[in-house]
Amino acid sequence: MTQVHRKPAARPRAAAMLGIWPGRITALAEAGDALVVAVWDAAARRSRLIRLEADGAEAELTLPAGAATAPVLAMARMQGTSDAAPRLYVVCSADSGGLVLAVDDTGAAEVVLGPRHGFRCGIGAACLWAGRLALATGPAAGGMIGGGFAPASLIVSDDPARPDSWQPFCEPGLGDADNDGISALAAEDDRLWLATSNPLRGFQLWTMANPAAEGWEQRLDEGAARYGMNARLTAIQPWNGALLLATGCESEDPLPHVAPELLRLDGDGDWDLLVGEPRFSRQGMQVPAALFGPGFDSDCDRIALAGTGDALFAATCFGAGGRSSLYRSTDGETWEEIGATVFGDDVPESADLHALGGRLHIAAGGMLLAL
Amino acid sequence: MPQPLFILCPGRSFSSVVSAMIGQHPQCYGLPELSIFVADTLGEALDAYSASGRRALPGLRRTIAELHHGTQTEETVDLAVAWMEANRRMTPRQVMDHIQELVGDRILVEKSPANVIQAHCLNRVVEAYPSAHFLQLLRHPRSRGLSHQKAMRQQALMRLKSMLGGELDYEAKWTDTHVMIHDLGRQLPPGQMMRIIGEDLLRESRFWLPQICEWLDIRDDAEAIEAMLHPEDSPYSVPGPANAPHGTNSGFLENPTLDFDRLARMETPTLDAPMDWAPERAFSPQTRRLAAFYGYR
Repeated sequence: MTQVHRKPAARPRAAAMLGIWPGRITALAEAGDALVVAVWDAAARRSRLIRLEADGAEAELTLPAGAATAPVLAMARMQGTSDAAPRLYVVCSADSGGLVLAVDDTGAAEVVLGPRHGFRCGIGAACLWAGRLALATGPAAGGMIGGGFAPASLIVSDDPARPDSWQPFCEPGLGDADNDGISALAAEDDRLWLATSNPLRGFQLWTMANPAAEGWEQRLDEGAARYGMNARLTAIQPWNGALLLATGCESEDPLPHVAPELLRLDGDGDWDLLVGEPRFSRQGMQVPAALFGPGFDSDCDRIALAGTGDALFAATCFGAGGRSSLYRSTDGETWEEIGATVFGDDVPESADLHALGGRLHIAAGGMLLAL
Repeated sequence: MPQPLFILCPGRSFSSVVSAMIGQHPQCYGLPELSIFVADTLGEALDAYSASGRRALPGLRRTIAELHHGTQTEETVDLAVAWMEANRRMTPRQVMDHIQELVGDRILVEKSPANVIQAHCLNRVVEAYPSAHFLQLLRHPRSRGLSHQKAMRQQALMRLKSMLGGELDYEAKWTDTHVMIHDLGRQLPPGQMMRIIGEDLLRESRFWLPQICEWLDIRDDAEAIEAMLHPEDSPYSVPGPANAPHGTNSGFLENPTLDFDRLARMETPTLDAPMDWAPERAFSPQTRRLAAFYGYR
């Protein structure tokens, strides 16, 4: 569970506190003027869905049996072709495999995809794309795979309430046997972006336009010339015609810790190193434009990203004992550290960032802030 | 004076040829293996090598002979040895400063594998030159291990050791050394250490050398790159006199002219098959993971 480091002297916090709950906020979604907050209490092994109204009133949504014991991975509001009205689709990652719930505006929730529908895959990432819900499949946490879909596949539905509507949308691993999963998804207008994780050769970034006539195109590979040290992408953030990418890598002693990088893929297909390790590459020598080394000059485990209309935000995320830093940029190249003013005295170990309603929302442990 | 460039890698990683190539740039000066950072003073380094039964510091002998007397003969090497004995109290930094003074405003390129033979040697380098450029030079663990094994078998002493104690652990040499170098890189400001895959550099020298020039902030015009393609022009790319015959890889000294057509066809081996020098074993997951960090499969 993410801890918050408190200093003895009080310091004002610039961000508005929207709420604080026991556990860790794992997903956020807009529902009209309200927010829906998913909170995972690891100690109690229990998920909660809380509807937070604009006036601060809270109401807990009742989760179906089985779903309450699974962390929520993502939430998206859409209207499937058989839905009478938009519903909130909640993607959970249970030990026995992934679950998709549909929650209507009355708070009624039902499992629309899960083991009882023959679906026994894990789910690694999810996003809304052109009126469809896209899920990246992977091994279930419990090790089970199957249910008709191979791991490291993308499955898509325009009617998630119908279990038979899901269709595979790519070859497993995009046809590369070394791709062991799909680590990140993002949609921008009609374009879908997908990152495969590959611990041997580094992440690959793929895209497909809608309609899907042209198929998948690879835009980056070999972890942007950092190979296995950029084994995967943990975030893909479209912003101002470019794509911001946060990388990740797992490394165990005695191998060196590998801190993540921030890359930018421009519209012309070239990539720039914004934060990370200078290196020689097929595209020439790359020097971080922001003049930060990996992890914003830290040994963080992950970089969280979000973009509002006028600004980009990045947060460094640590395991136990670390202290997250929050950065703001208007061009991707100049980053200002704003964590001290945003967090005040409550500096978290990690922070997940969400751009909702034009505002930055920061989920730090069980605390939800808005800037 | 400019900061030196240290090429860091375990032995048999193309360091002789890469060091000589970079050293041929008009703004650089490629050195043979000085091997002076193994001890706190030149005298201690001389004693350490003498104790092992080897002719001490042939690379330094050749360097001093060349720079003091403009030629490397048995006579000038004897004079160089006398200079070394007379300056036993010099620290490695003072020896390098002396060489730098003689070379002038050119970047010294040093590549002794002894710099990474143990962590305290590497620490000594960094303490002496905290602002130096460091280039981590990579070679595939299989081909490096095979090359190391071949070199060991050509040396009588090592043949004896091999008979008595079995093969050296060529895999661990690669992994442990690169973990140590990698850890140093994490402690340095971004850009002070860069990494290059030796096979790429040799296969496509004209593509990668300008990037190295850009990093070192030296000319990357056609004339400079052409000079770098001729490591054979270095005064240290020929066998030395009998009292300092090598000072760098002997195979390179026998054939320092690069055959770029052949190098362009050089294949990078795989990590998948058992290790050639220990056919009962595969590369460890740790080595495979570290190799994947660097783009090897």
